[in-house]
Amino acid sequence: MTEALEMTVGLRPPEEVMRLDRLGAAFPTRLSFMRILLRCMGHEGWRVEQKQFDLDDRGYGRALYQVTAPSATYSLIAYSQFLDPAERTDRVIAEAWDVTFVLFDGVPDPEDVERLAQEAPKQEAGRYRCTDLVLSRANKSLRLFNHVVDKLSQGVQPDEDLLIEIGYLMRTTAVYANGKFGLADRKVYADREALAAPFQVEMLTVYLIRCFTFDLVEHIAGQRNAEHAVPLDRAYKRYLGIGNATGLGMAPFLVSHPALIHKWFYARETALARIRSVKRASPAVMAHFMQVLNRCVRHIHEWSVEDKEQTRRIKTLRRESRVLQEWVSQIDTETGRPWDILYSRAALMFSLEGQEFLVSLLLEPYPDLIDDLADGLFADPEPLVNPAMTLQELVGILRERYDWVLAIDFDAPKADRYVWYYSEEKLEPRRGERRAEIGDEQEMAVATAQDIRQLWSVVDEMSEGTVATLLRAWPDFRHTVNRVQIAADHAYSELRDNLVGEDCRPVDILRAKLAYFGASKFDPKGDLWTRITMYQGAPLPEEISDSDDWSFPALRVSVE
Amino acid sequence: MNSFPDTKLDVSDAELDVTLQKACVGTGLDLGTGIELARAALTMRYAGIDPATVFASALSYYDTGDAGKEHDYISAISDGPSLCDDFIVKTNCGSNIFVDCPLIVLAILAARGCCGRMIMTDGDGDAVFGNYAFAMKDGTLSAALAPNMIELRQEPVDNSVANDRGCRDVSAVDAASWREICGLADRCLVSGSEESRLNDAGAGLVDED
Repeated sequence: MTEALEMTVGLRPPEEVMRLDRLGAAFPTRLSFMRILLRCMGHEGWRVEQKQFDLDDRGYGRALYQVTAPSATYSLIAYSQFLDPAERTDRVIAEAWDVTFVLFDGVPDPEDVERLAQEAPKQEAGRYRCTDLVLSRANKSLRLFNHVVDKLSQGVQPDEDLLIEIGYLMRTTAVYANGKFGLADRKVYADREALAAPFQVEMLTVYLIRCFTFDLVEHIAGQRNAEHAVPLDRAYKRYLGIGNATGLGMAPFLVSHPALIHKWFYARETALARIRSVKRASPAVMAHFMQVLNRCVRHIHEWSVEDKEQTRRIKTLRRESRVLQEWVSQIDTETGRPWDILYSRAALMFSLEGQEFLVSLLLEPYPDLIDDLADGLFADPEPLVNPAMTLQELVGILRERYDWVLAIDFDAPKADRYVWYYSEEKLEPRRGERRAEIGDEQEMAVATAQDIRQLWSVVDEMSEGTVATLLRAWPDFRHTVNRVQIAADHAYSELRDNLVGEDCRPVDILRAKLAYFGASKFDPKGDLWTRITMYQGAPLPEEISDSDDWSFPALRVSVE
Repeated sequence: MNSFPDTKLDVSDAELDVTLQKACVGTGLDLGTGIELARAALTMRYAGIDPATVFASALSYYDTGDAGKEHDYISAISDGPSLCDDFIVKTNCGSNIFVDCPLIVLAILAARGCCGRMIMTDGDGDAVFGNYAFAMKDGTLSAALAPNMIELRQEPVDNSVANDRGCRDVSAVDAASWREICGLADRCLVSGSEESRLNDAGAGLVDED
């Protein structure tokens, strides 16, 4: 291990990593937030218990799950209700859901449970307290949910093909935290070591929702036919995840948190560089890698979507994964820097999806080299402007970090086709055609390339002075100057593309973020939103351990 | 939007931060200024002062164009960040600065991590800032809320100037002021077009998966 930590291979540069097309081919890794959470739960021996399950024969009512960690207790309260099928939609403008959830900090007293029974079903229209950590909701995947209930109640297991095709019993459509609607701010729990990594309370909530879906489906089946109903097979439970529909609301986050984003991608690239620097692979590591690769090959064959472009990419990936199996079979323990050789070959011959898939795989057999990087994924508040910086220094950063802006043809007809804004309907970010009635104050600060270009042209004309001088004359550049200064020390802070141009596919931004969450089975529905699956293959509560080897699950034992 | 029937409302830091940023942008300020003012508002909250009342008033004043127009003082809302820039850059910064709301300038300076003292001529006001916090001499608050001539000095402060950044007991804000801020923030909103409705997550999809 010590030998491997001698870094002989550098990080992939940001000009390669931070392009949207590559970000839009990302896969979850050992550093994904779901993986971090489950590692922590296993390491610390968290206990998950169903404490209350007051649901009627149709599955409507309340349930409460309690998670006991060494230093804290968390509770998921679920409110399940009848939902008119006409109201069952993934859209953020929905106003009713099958089940709504709150993750509570501690053990709620009956008053809290009653209070949240009034608020949680209203979701964004409700009001929450600092004891309430996360707010979420989910809808049933009716086709699979009803099928599973039917089958279990008849005493048989569900159809495997349908499990593979859909992959989840319920699908979340929002998971809110960090102060939204009065929920607890992140600072309330950020100093708890187990929750220090980003989005850990959100990931815990989704994990518990997954537990609830299994209990719910078995409960309804049992109520329907107590005599013959059987529980869902453990292997099927393990395979099923939680679905999610994600739209544009998530995309601007990657733009508005440059220092944080740098930490995520810098960590992943550091991880890759460490693995590529490994001088020799031990037989045990080779065996582990091959085992994961073989599972991945089956996983990819179980990944099917309707989207034509993604289908094409998946087909290519299937082919490349077989090529990868051949290449790996040629590596032995005497091969010098085997993973660097493997990655370098892939970088020349594989699609972006194939390359990023390999990046994810390479990290798997080396927890000792990788997992410590999870400690560096959070960031303090984004730094503010340094007014003492000279304009010469500022130009220096522009030249070093933003040369990609120079390659954009801003005079092209569709270079500023789109505008990002907050929608009045649900206060969520949206992207639409630029239109006259959208004023400057309504345009979100997403057009980074355009902003940088304008700043650059102004700074070029000011021969000397400081940032303070510049901002005195041009106060509107304060935000852009701030970005540039952050980029000086955060090379991976910017999405290096024209985010308002015709060619921008927001779904690429979504995938980059969702992959870091740990999502898989990306199922894009056009360029603007995607479905995903979370926690597919993850251990059930009683199975959680330190091993953390559950990525890229497959139900079938062989590729047909 | 939520309705706010009470006189006080429990607002999270994140809500204060994001809403104030939007309110600033809604009044025509740039996002960078909005970010600094929002950070100042949080610093104010940690000092035990309700930032909603302070910023609702100041933003409204700025928004109507009254700030500095008929008077010879500057607007803390629009000029505060640059004033802070000058304080950082220059070693001898700031005497005889007539500002409409010294408290906002004080909070910006603290939020930026500056270290020093603010003297307010009227009302014998005196405040120190450092360690991302500020502290005022007793009786200074009223002087810091009204137009005042200020002097800014760079000087070290001790560790006694620090707030409990983790506290939540000052999270209630004046509901009426909060409504005003939300109203300004709402100017950033765009009503959905038919196109946007067609492109939302889940849109155009009729299935049972």
